Amino acid sequence: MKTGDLITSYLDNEMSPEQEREFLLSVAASDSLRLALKSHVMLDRIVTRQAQQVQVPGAIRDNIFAQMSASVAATPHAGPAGRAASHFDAGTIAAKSAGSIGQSILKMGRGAIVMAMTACGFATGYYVHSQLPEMQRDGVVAPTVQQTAPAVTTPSAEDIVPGVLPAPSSATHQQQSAPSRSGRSIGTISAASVRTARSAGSTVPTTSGNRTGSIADEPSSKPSGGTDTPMQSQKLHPSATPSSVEPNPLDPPASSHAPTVTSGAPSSSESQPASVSATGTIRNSNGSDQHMAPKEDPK
Amino acid sequence: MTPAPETRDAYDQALFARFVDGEQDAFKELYDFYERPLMLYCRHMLTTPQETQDVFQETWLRVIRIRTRKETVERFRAMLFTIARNVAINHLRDRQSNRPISLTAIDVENNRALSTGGGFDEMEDLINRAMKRLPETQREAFIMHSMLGYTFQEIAEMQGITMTGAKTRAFRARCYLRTLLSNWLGLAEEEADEHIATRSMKQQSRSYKSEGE
Repeated sequence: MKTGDLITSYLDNEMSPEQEREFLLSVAASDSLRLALKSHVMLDRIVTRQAQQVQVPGAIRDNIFAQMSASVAATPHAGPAGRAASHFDAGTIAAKSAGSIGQSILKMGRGAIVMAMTACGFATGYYVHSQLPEMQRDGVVAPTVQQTAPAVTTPSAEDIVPGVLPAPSSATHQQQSAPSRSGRSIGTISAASVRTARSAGSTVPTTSGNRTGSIADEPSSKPSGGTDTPMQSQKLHPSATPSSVEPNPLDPPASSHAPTVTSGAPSSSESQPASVSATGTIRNSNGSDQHMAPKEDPK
Repeated sequence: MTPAPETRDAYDQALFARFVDGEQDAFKELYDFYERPLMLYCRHMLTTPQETQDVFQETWLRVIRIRTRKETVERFRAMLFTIARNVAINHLRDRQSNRPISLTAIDVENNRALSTGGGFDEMEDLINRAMKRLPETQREAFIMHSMLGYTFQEIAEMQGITMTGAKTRAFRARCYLRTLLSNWLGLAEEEADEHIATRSMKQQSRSYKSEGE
């Protein structure tokens, strides 16, 4: 057996009494063995001392715990115990801050206020929506139907100066309510169309669908002529059918308008776009009527 | 309440399971228990304090990352030191690729000259320097057995070797350190003997002089 094994066995109490006696006798007789035993004991003492002296810098500990907190915060509900812990933490935080009961009441009050405001908004909207036909009938609010058919006459390309809005001529009560919108809409489209048309040479801008839609949706002013006066009187009566239309000359031919108008417009004459008369006649800017072949002749 | 050593693994397993579920106190308890052993391991496995702190921190960050994978750990202690071992080996590889060091060189004379005539602190410094010169496998086995109290079976499992192999590694490391210490102590004994002999000779000469007078 080597010296190291002998020393280890002796220190670990693995020797029998006879072996231990022989070992101690040999230690007493041999300087090298005595030195080896001493060094072994000293080595153990050094190791024990080092284990007691080790210290960890506080910055490392803080960094590790910060990472751990971030990880737990990222996935707090990993399991049932985690849920319990998170509930416990939330309750503790609430108790520390302002009292859990007060917090709960405050949160419930806020929620109730938000819900009440939402309900009031819905109720107001419903009431206004339900009262809107009566208000329109009383003339308080411009009826939506009338706003769909104002564009009887649109300025011709010669009448429109790019960048200049056409001035309304004979504005009714309903048209005066929103003159800027109508002027802006028509002027913008027309000016843009003219610019596009002039820059593109003979190419006609394909804005018929959009223009028809915008004219039909928004109330438009009457930039010129007294030809639209009858239309105004008709527009005040929703049951009346528009009789004449003066299309924009930059529009595509009337034949190309027909499918769009007939397909997009509802069947009732009240909501039918004003650019088309009941007989399928379109009034041009020069006053001449252009007859469109109606698909179905009511007579 | 600190559990008994034989039930430590089960206790650590329960603590880590609680940490996986989101309990920060469980991680704190694990950290407090294994902070110093792990730092001691890293300090002896690596050379500079910066490397030691880097490996220590990286080891714990990897433990935190394991939590997000919701893995069950049966033996937390073995897992912790296996992670530390892998991180330390990576650091050692990087360092050796940049600055090769002969780990097997034994410079007993240099150490003896360094530590001649010192006390316990110098002896400790001698051991620390000598441990850096040990092969990594022997050093690790010695640290884990002598400093951290692991059994050879546990060391064998961590290093992926047999229990006899782990025992051999730890034994060789201890032999080297003990030889170094013996030489130092022997030198100290020789110096002490010389000092005693010189002193006795002086005393004898004084006595001779006094007798002559």
